[in-house]
Amino acid sequence: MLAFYLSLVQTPQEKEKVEQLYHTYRHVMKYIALELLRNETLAEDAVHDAFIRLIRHLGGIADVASQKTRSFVCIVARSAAMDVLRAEKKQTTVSIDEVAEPGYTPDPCAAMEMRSLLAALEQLPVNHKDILSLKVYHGLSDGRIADLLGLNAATVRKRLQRARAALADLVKGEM
Amino acid sequence: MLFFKKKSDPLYLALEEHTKQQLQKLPGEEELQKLTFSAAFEAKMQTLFARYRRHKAANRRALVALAACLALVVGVSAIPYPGQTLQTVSERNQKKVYAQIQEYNDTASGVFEYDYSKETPAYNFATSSMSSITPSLARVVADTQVGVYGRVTAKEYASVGYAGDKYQIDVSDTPVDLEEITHIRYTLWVYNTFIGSIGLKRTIYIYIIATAVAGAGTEGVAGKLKPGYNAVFLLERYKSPSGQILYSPYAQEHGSFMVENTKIYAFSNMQDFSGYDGKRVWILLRDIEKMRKKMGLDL
Repeated sequence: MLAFYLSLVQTPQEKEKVEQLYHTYRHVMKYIALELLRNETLAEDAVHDAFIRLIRHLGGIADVASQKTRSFVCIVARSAAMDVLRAEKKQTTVSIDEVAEPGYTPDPCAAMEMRSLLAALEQLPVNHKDILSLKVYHGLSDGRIADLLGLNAATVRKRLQRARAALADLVKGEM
Repeated sequence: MLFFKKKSDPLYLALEEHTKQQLQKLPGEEELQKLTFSAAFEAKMQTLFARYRRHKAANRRALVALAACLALVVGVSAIPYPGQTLQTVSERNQKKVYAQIQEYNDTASGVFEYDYSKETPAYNFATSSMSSITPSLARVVADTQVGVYGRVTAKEYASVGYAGDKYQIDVSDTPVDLEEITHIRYTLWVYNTFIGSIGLKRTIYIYIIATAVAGAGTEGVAGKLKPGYNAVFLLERYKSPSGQILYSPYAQEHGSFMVENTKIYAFSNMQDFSGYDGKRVWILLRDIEKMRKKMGLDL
C-alpha cells in the first residue's frame, strides 16, 4: 500500500513532463483529431480527453521528444477522437469487438519478413494497428491499454487477437 | 510468436519502422503550428493541469495520512470522514449567522486592536490597507475545524494581489473548480494531525469557509454560486522547531480559494501571498478567526 501511494507522489519532473507534453504535442494531437472529426470544437475536446489519459499514464513516458512518445501520443489522440466521434454519432450498432470470436488465430511469424510485415501493417485497420503498437512496440499491459483506449481488458484481448489474426492473413497474402 | 516484446522481434521491428513512416507522413512542425486553439480550450487545459496537481497533492496527503496512521496510530477515530460536515449554515441557522455577520460589519474596526507586534515584529499593521478589504471579508465565516463544504464552479474569478498600498483585483474568465474540496479537507485534517505529531509547531491552521448565504449576492458569480453552496479558503503555515516558516505543500502548490459573496478570489499559489507580504494575509486570517471567536460563532 505504501508503495502504491509512493508511486503516486508528484514530482517536479512529472509536472514538467505534463507541460512539456502539452507544448510539444497539442498541435499534432489536434491535427489527428481534426482529421477524424472535421470539427474544431470536437477536436479540442478530443485533445483534452487525450491529455487526461496521458496524464494517467505519465509514468510510461520516458522521453517526451522520442519517436516512441510521439507515436504513443498519436495513438491516444486518435483513440480519444474516435471516442468523441462515436459519442457524436450515438451509434447503437454492436461493436465488432462484441461479436463472437471466430477462434482462429494462426501464427504467421515463422515466415515473416520485414517487407511483408510492413506491407501488411500498412493495410491493417487503424484500430488494430494501434492496439498492436501499444502492446508490442510500447510494451503495455492489457490493463493499461484498456485504460488508455477507454475499453475493458476483455475487449483489448479480443481486439489483439483479431489484430493478430488480421495481420496473419495479410502477411499470408503478401507472401 | 507475434508478441515477443524484445526489440529483436520482427513484429516489433516492423512496428517501429512503420511508426517511423507514419510519423513522417504527419505535417511538418511549421504547418502544425498554424493550428490554433480557442481560449476556452486553453482555459480548460489549465484547469485540467490544476486539477491534476490537486489530485496529486491529495495523493500526497494520503501518503502522509498513511504514515501517520502506521507510525502513530493517533486520532484515527476522530478523523472526519468525507462529507461528514455537509450540513450547511444556511440549513441550520443561516439567518442568525448572517445577522451576526452584519453586526460584526458594523463594528469591524474593533478587530484591528490586536497587538500583532508580539508575533510579527516586522509588521506594522497600521500602515497596511488591509482594512480596505476586511469589511467585505467580514462576511466570511471562519471556523477551524467544522466547516461547510460544497461544490463551486465559477465562470468568473479574480486574483488578488497587493501592490504598494492597495489590493488589486484582476478579473479573469478562467473557471475555478473546487470539486475536490471534501476530499482535500479530509486529507488535510489527517495531515494536520501528522504535522503536530512530528514536532512542527503549528502556528495556525485555519479553514475559512465562505458561505454563500442565500440571497446575499450569491447570484453575482455568474449565477454559478448557489445559495447554500460554499467554497473554502485554505492557508497553512507551520513553524519548525528551528524557527523556519514552512508553508504547507498544499498551499504552495494549489493556492487557496475564497468566496466572498459575489466573487471568488483565487490565489494561484503561496508566492502570490509572499510577494505581496504574506504576513498581511496571514494576519487577516487571524482577524477572521478572532472575529469568529468574538462573535461566538459555533457553526
